[in-house]
Amino acid sequence: MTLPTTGINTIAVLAGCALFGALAGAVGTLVLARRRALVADVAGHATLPGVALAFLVAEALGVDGRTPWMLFLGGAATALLAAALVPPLARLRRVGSDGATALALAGFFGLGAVLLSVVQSHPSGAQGGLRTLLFGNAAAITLDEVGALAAVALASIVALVVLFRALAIVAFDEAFARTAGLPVRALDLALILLLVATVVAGMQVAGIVLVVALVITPAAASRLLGGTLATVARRAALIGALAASLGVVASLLGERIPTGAAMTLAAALLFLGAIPFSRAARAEAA
Amino acid sequence: MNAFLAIDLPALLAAVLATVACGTLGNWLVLRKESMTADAIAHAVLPGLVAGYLVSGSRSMGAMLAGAALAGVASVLLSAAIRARTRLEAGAVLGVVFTAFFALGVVLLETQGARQIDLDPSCVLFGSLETLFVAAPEGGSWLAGVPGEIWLLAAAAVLALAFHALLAKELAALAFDPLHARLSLRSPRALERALLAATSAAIVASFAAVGSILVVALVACPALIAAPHARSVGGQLSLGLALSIPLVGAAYFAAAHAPSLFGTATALNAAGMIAVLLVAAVPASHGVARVIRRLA
Amino acid sequence: MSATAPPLEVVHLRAGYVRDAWIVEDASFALAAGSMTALVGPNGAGKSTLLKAVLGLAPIVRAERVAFFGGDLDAARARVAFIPQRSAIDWDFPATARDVVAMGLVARIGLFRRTGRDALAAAERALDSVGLLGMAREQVGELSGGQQQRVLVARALVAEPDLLLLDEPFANVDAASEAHLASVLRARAARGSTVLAVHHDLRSVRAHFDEAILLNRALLAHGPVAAVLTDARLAEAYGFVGVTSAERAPAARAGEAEARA
Repeated sequence: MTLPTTGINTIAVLAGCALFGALAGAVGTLVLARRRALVADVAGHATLPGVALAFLVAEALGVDGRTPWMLFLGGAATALLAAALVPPLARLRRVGSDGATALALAGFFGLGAVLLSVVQSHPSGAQGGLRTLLFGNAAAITLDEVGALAAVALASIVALVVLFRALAIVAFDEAFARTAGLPVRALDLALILLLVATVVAGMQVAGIVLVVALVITPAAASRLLGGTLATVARRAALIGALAASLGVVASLLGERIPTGAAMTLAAALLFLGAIPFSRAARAEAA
Repeated sequence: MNAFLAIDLPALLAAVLATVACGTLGNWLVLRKESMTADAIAHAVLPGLVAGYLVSGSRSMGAMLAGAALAGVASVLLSAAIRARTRLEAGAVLGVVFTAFFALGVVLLETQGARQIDLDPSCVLFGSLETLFVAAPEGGSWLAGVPGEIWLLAAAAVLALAFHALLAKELAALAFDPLHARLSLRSPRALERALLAATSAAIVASFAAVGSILVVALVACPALIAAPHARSVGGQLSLGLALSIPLVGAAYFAAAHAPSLFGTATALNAAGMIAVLLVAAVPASHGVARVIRRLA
Repeated sequence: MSATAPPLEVVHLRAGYVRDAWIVEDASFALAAGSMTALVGPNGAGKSTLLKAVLGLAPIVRAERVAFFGGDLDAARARVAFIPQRSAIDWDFPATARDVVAMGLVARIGLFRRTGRDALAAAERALDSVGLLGMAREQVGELSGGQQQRVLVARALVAEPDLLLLDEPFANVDAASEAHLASVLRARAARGSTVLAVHHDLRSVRAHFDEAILLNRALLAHGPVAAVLTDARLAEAYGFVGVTSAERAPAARAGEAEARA
């Protein structure tokens, strides 16, 4: 068995995916601490209408529809819009945050499905490429796309490191953060932006349907093992990078395995492996 | 047979029956603030559905339903086991488990399913309303050509309505005040499990026809559309279905036939269009309620 | 099951667990039939936990005995009513006051049967007894806090319980509702029902109740209100000393604030 793409390309793809996995794990730690796990689900699914719109706009302008930055911007725009709509929807009578999450998820993904059917009817041959965005396909990724992915992931990691202390305080104790004079609303927006950047960066490799797993599962696995939030975040980044890399290798070896599904399963196995070492399990054994 | 009877009517029937099945049970999920459970169930049952297909070697309804039920139960048990062993919050555990199950289903579908099946990942996400049609046998009646999916959805709709009629009183008491119900009802736990089982049945039956995302809209939207106007649990259900069913029909026709008005031949994804219209109707309905209150 | 068994008897109950400590360390008491007892103690003393634990709604760590009318809870379920804190409920539920009161009859009506005319009539009688007959068709979400609390009491009364357990029935309730509720509970007690209520306001204990249980993780005292709420006992429970009865209420609140901090 050999990897279909060997040499420099494979190494670049692996490095890009590992970077994305690390970002997802670290952002996921904060998202879980802030109890926003399901917002990650919404953000992932809600990139679909934006991506399809960006494709249609690009084609109308005579640009290649799969230009990565176009897709990133389109996906990020609708993902942000969906995340921003959850709180006002939740304030409607008898809706609540559970109902608002379901509405945002179904509404935006439904719109994405409609727009995707428009893309499919498009004469351009590039439409086949958009389908791979659903479950991810590392084998089909171009060097350009890896570069864009890596740039977004690196910039987000830097932003995360800079903001980590403030974000951690808000996640740990919102009331305290307010009295300490931290701009809680701005920091919440920053976390959503980081989440959207993560989802967009992972779109091509992890896919928009399962990218949420790379945000939640490595962070949950790392949480099992305990420690301060910074320790948990660093460990989650490692687990995320490992899960993403394993997923890429598995999907490159097994030709028909979608990369996103492979990454998700790798992360789930790492999570299961962490359970015996969890603090709660150890406390019981003691 | 004309195109309406052969193509449009079966798709419409499937969408409406799925609305009744999911919306009736979804009314309880909405009252209990658990509509996202539907999303988890819709994802978690996939590996069972595919395994049922692979084991039976055909798209046999029984095997696929049994597989889906097994996968659903397994995901619930696994979530409970993880929560018992760790101190993770419920939302995170749900996220870990349902994505893993769904990923397993996708891998099975792509690697084992090979090329010959009509069950593919995009139909899992977006539904296959477009592929439902009635092929009446030569000289046979229309009814004889109705596909199995529609009979299954009809059964799910009847089951959901019966479930509601038989247990509404207990479910309302439990949804309104769980603490009080845990004392006054003999087995609130069994009632919750029955609701989960009935919901899973409705979702599995609807899943193949309308896809995993429309299922979430069908569960949450009817009740949420009626919520600002409803004065009773039963009123919320009947108003929700009465408003949703015409919307579902309108969305189907918009998806299937509106593009031809603009001169393009390809239809739009019907499940997606239904989801968009139902979701948009929720804030619209709240707006109408606000206007009514101001006028009153 | 003897006829003279106390409506509720608790022996060495330990319940609840938060941050490596029991919420209720040790509680033993028995209620006399027809008594009206206030369960008092500072914030975090475990009052709600104790109430929920005896009903199986919060985890019991250990208990020598928890008996209702001399038997276990399952045998006495129909005779016991629980009224949770009003704030524990989402009042935006689509239901009228009468619908909510009729929920008190769900077990009696039985599985697979509809709530019939008899049940609705009984619900209206119960609403009448708390002075809310005129509100029977109103949405519960549109009632005032005090009226919502009275609806919850009516939901308990409609099943004609012999033992009423209430969690903070007078919290955030207007004066009219408080007086009404107190008289309704008093009337139930006069007809032989037993009442145990978590209560916050030390000023009104004497007015509404005959007996008191003073709890601060452990049970400190149980008996007639005057004998339980002495300065010395309150000082022990709330951590303040040397107050006269008139000053007690504000001081008690200060004690609670400390307990919260």
